[in-house]
Amino acid sequence: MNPLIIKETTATPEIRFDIAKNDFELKGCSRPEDVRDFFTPVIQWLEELKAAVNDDLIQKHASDPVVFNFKFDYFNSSSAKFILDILVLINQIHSLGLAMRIDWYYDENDDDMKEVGEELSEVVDFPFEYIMVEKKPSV
Amino acid sequence: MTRIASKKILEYKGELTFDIIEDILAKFKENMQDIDIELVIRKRLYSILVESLENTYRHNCEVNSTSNHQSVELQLITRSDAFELIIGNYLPNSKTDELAEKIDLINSLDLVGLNRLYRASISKARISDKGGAGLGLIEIARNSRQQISYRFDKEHDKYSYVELKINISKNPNKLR
Repeated sequence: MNPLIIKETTATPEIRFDIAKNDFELKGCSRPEDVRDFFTPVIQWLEELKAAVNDDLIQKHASDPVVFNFKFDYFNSSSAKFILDILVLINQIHSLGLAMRIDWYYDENDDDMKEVGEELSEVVDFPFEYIMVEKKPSV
Repeated sequence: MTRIASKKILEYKGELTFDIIEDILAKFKENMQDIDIELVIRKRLYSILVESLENTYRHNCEVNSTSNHQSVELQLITRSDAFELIIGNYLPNSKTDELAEKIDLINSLDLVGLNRLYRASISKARISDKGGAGLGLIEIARNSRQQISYRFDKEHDKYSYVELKINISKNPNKLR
């Protein structure tokens, strides 16, 4: 599969999905002008990954799980809906046998972002790893 | 009598486009640099501002040039223990009851109830033709942790001016 690379702007996050390199990251601020336009290619890429899961891929990642790094500074409520859809797809792909992990990053002074992660984890019913970072605030 | 000091951080009156929202948010960040508050409050305030602006942008309706207010009017004020966001826009009269019911429901819930409502809503949310997920008011209430006050001024048989007042405590542990 070709990687999905979307560059960061002031209103949209950086997205990097590369199964060949096991490099998956969503980073920055998410409040796109057209949330459907922005996230549809992201959802489609994950649906293609789901369709591509086979025994070879499962074997390859058996001891090297696919790790999705969520490093949001902020996301609006419309983005939250699509982030949930992304997490649901990750869970579905995991259910097919591909070893996956979600790392949810949050600023050391931003417990709200950690709680948002805990909430999404509960809604999706998939455990996250929570990683606290020291970071300059972007808002 | 003790005089409570207040200061205007942000003010805008006029049309709202995505680019103007960008400008308002940039101004907010610039003006907030000199205000010493915890990161969690700063982010809650930012979130409330974004959701309020985006709600207004999506649901604002066109009005006559003789209307009493500009298309959108916004003020963000800091007081000793809280911030206050006042945001007003025009809404079709066919939508005012629905909005009032939504706010009244949200105001009736404590934080636990709001979180429950959010989780139920996000699971079944669909992006509307206007681009929203229907979660904005819930998110505003969750971040403000206080009641949202509102008023309607019916200026025309087709539309009303609706004004929301949202308070955000500077104490991160203050609950509804």
